[in-house]
Amino acid sequence: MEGLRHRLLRWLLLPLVALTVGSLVVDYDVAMRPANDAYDEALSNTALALSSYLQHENGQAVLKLTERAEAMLRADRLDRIAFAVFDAAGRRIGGDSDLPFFGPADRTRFDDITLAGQPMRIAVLPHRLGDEALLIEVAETTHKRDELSRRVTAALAGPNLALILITLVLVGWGIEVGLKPLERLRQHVAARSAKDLTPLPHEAVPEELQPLIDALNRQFALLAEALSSQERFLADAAHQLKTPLAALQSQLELAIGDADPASRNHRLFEMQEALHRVTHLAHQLLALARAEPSAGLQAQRQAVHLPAVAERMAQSHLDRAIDRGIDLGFELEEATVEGVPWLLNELLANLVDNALAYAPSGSHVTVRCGRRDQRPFLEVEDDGPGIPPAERNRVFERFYRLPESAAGGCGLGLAIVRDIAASHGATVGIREGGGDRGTRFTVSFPAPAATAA
Amino acid sequence: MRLLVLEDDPQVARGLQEGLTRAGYTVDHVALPSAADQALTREAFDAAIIDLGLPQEDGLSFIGRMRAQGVKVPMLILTARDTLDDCVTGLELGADDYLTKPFRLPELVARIGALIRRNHAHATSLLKVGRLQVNLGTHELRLDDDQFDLPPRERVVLECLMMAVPDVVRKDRLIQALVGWQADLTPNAIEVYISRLRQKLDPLGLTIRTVRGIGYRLEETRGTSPAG
Repeated sequence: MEGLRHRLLRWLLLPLVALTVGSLVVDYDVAMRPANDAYDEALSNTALALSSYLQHENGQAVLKLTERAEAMLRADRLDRIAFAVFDAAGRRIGGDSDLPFFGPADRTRFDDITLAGQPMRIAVLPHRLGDEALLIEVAETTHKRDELSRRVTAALAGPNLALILITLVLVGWGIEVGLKPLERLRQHVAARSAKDLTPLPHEAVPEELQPLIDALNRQFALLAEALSSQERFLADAAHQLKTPLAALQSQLELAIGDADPASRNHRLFEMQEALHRVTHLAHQLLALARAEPSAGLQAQRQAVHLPAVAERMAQSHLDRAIDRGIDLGFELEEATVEGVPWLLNELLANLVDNALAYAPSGSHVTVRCGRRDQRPFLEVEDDGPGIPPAERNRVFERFYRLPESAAGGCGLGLAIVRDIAASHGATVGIREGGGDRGTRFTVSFPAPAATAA
Repeated sequence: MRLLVLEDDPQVARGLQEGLTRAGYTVDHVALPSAADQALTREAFDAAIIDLGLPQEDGLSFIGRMRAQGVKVPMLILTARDTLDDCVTGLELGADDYLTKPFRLPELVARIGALIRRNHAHATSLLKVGRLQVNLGTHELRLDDDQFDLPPRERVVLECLMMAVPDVVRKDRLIQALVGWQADLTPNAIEVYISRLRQKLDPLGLTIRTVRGIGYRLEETRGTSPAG
């Protein structure tokens, strides 16, 4: 985009120049009109003077001019004067033979003509001699008028040009001064380190720029928050990844040198546990990355039948529930959502995993789906120890685990649930299960659009 | 029982070969689709394990090509891609089951066993779960080598459960199977048949597990070893 300075210069200077040129034209006209009128008046006076030399002779009009009178009539400092007198029929009565007939005229009129290639001004005057209508023409070259025009133009051009030049300088200077705060801001931002996300100074910035600064500062704050959460995430992920790997490595090294079969077996079991933790974490990290709203999921969306998702969960999680001594049950009613099938599997798997991990042996975990107020929902309820209300928001944070929690797990499951729900426009709610015991996670999807129904 | 393993990672392949051999299978390993192609078209296998991330040719297209050539061996997809889409595509192309990496050997052995059992039942009409065997053509039930008699409706229910092992059978699926025998069947009636079957199967080392809200699953009672 073109610079502010150029825009200001262009939109200030173009109208100013147009205005100056317009005023020049008007000034010229104002100065020239009375002068031209005076010259025309003098021309018509010459014609009038000529009329006094007309008389009747033998019933015919004649022009009786003495040499002296003619010299007087033709006397002019700059211009050549031509004249002629005609009768009503256009016959020449006297005067210069090269001046043609320009009549008739019922009152004095002036005209610009060209005579023998020379521009001339002519006055045509009707004159009555007795009962005969005559026409007197007096023409003069335009030298003194041209001279006047040159002088007026010269007189006007100087000051106007000076006006334009001074305006140019003043406008340029004004723009420079006006844009100074912007330039200061530019230098300030340019001098910052790329990693500096502290807010820009609010003071010393013109009020027009304040909304921009505010918007930038909000953006900086969001970015800073995202960066620090990213850093925390990486630190947590590194810890979670490397701890089981360290356990695996040390147990492996011990097992290699271990001759006692019983303790070797124990070490192998430990390794399996560590491996399981790493495997689980790798899976969860990938799921989290894939659930990102930016992951291009729109293309994978299709109609997903929620009871089918829940039934798949029954097949894959039943053995684990049996191992943990938990009764895994289902209450499934018809519901279909627009979504990404494997992500919805992942969402429900994490909720069920979570319930199976935290509910003690002998408890019940129930998976529900259906519709409430037109909104499809997925729900997992357990009658385990429950989540204290104060912790309910925090459990969705990445790597957050309930204090004093006995269950293993990396603390990503509910973050994945939250992200997947968000990418489907769904909300996740936590409250107590039935009988104020345990936990109930409810994922409410948006009601299907009327057109899709 | 002979298996073909198509897997390009040598370490995973060694693990598979040893684990499956220990479970009682004869295992042929190939690393390239071209070699698997030759083996499957020329020799007889009871099942094939196909890795999806392969050099030369994608595992999915390999499966589609084999099915198009008329290879009927049951195939299980092994994949490190866990987005399920690949697995669903694989099933559509003709694979019979899938397992995502990393997997546990016992699960793989169980899946392969079920795959072979189902395929075997399909080919011979004989389906075996534990000590029980059903002839899907004649609907004759056998316990070891002796005839095992059940009332017709209980037999239909048991057959459905045996066909599905190790999966859960939905209750409405059982109702559908019984509609020919009894028009106005209530879910309670199913429970009656299930409870009668439980009493008869318990001594044989078979359990029918209720999956609340979905249906039932036939399991070999824990502690008894699965048939290979």
